[in-house]
Amino acid sequence: MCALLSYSVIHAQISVQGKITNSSGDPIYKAHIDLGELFTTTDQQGYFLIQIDTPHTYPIRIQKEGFMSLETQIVVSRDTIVSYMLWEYQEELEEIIVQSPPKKADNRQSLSQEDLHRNYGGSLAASLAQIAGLEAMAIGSQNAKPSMRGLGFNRLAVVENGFKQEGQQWGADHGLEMDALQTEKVEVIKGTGTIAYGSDAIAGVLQINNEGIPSLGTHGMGLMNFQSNNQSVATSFHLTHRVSEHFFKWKASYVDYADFIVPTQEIVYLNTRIPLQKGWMTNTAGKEANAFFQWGYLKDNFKSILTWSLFDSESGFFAGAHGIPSIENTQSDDNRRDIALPLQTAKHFKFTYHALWDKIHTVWDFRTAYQRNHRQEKSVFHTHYPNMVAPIKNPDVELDFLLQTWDTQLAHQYDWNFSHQTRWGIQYQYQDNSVDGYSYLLPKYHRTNVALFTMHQWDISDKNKLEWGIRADYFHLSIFCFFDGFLYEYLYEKGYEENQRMAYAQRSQSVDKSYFRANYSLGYSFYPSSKWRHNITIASHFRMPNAMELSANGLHHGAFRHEQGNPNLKVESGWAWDWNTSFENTQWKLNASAYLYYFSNYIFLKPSGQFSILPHGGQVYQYDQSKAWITGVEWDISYTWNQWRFQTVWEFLYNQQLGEIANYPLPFSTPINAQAQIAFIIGDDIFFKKNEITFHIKKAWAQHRIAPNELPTSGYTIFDLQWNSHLSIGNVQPYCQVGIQNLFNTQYFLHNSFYRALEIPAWGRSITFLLKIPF
Amino acid sequence: MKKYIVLLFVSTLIVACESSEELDTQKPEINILTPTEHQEIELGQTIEFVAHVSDNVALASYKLEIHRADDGHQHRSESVPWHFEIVENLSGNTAEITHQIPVADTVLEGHYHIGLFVIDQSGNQNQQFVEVYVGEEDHQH
Repeated sequence: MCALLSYSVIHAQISVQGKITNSSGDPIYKAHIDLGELFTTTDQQGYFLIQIDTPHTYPIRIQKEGFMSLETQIVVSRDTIVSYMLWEYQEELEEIIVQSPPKKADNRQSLSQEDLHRNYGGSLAASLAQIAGLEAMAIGSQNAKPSMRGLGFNRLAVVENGFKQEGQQWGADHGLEMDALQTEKVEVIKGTGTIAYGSDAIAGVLQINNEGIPSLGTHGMGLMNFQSNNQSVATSFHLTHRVSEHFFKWKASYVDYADFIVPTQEIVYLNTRIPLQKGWMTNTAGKEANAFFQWGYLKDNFKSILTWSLFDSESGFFAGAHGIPSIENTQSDDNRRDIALPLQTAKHFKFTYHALWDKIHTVWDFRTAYQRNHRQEKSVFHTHYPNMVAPIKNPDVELDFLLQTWDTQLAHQYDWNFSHQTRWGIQYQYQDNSVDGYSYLLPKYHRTNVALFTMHQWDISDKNKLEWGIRADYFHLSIFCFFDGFLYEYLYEKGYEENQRMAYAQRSQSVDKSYFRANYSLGYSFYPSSKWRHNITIASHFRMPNAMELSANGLHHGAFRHEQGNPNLKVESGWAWDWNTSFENTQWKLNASAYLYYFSNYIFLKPSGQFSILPHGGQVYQYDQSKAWITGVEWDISYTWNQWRFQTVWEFLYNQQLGEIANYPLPFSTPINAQAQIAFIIGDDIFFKKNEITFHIKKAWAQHRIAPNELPTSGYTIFDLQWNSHLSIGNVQPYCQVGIQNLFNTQYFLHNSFYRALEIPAWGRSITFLLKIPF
Repeated sequence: MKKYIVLLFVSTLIVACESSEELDTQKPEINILTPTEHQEIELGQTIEFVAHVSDNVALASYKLEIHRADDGHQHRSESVPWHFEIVENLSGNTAEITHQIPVADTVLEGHYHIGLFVIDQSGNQNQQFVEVYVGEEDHQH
């Protein structure tokens, strides 16, 4: 009896019937309908039928390629007949919709190309520096490395079109190889990123998307930038062409800059006074060329994008402080634009392919890439070993690194129903590093990485979202040993014992190691209203020790530092906790974060107190590991009042290494800093539209919390002024921006600049000009 | 919410003020008195090396070295490039480092770097270099 009753209840089904049409009333064939847990598709007449068991209020979603999705709720108490109309995509809307990712439960901020141009600082890292928690570690005139919460190099993942940018392991004296003028979109993700990207996403991720789909037809943009301080001239253009299913994108940039000028007549480096003629930083000129080509194919629910990009740069080193101070080498040759030895070149070539098959409820995502990072340091042949002669081929190449990386990734995403979404994937990477040059620093190595990950997103309600992930990584690393015969002979002639000769001449030992790592993350988002959003993430993170840290043995170029690798290093790992709150209404905009990073084995260089026997070798430093933690808060508040906009950005950071003897601060600690900006929007003129004048103040407090053998840095306050406007010339609306950076020509030091250790101040006053013409 | 931010901020400041007392990050100071930059030293003479060094906590050791500075452009001759190196321990807050270094007649003439590296007991390091010319007159190589 009981069984019979339940049988009849189950079969007391209610039918929901309906018709889906477009805006002109024509039926839509194969539209996808989700009703609660059930789904179906429409027939050729646009009809559908779903049978349900229990009367309830159900969410309903209707999707069809080329139409805006519709999502609503229906009350089903008995058999129901409904009809819905879907709107076709507008071309201009499509571009936005296709690119906007689903909301994620993490701390993330987006920047468009317009934002990047407005804050253009000569490099991508500098253009991003106005975001709370981000800093540009300046290297010379127009290069910089990004750092987040005091973590840079291999502790911050920079990802372009899904692939990690390699080459950051090469040290502090080169920037990020990326075209800052043609970057389409950047997402800054703080505190998490390991599940999707694996090793190196410790601080977070800078996710660059250059796969935007252009609108139909032919469009383009020409750009010109000038900076007076280093007489930098940048020209850049892009052209997009889209016909039916195909699109093409061409981009090119060329930047040429002269020696930069610092507001001082003399620098004191290693107790030597080095005079600077008119403040010129001799031989810091450089040039950069970029090219980019993309071909995209879009058909129904299939997307295929092929991208080819090239970055090629050359820049001089300030010779007065390249190693031993040299007054002769700072003498200007009256040509500010030439690049003489010593110099560096960096070439980055990347080929990526991305295929996306976006079926309703299920998405397949395949990516494959090859990137080639080639960097050379050139300097007139010099040696301390009398038996060594200059190589016949490329006699000026001191160091040469060629890092080739092959990546392949496959991911599958499945929408279970309205509230659950799972993504899983497999990633494979092979890396090959080869070295050359008459000097030796970084060993040759191979590295393989295989990873499996899964992420799950649960929309608990309209106001709550939960996301968790797990990832397993396998690494295999083979480092090739290198024995320096010239050094051995030199030490022999100087009468050193055999064991010492061997210990120093073995410049790197062979290391063959496998590592396995598991990582976890949990994120929770809470939206009490459309204005507020709170987010908490807790995530584990890791970083593979690099070849330098595991196997190096020798003088670090120019730093008088003898670095000794440690093949027993464990994977650097730990946890990050991040809390973010944001609020936005028509007047106020707030974004605040608090964070805590904990490292169970932070890799650092430990001074040994023993001198190296190598010529120009100071103390021996050994790579070691210890516990460490970083905490801080950062916020960004802006308020709009009539034609005024006020904005303030603050950043506080505190870190500590938990060592055996003393708890030193970590290296590259960002000083407490603040920015304030006042903008005034002037009414439109016939010629000038959307005029805005911005006054910007940047203040950094003194940094006395330094790691051993860093220099403390005094605080500073600098002022910038900028005017920007959209000009109106017929149908063309060029964008124009004129600014003065470091208005009062203040002499100050950037704590984390590569030139800080050389006692070289930051740029003096500079007038900047940017013109952008869309066509 | 604001309460927590303020709390975290205040705690950050407290922690920031607490430590950094015993941490010694100050580098030793070096002042090489002789020889002076670009001084000429004739073959067979003696280099009178005098330097004052000091540290805020305690000095540990120094390394004095002399190497040829001519970027390795080797002249094939009977003369040999000259190397000198000495490592010694130090103690206390200040010290005077003096050495009389004889320059042999067989030394290859040219520019030489005299480098003094000093470390303190916490491992802070500083260095100073002086470039001298060893030989008869300052002719370019």
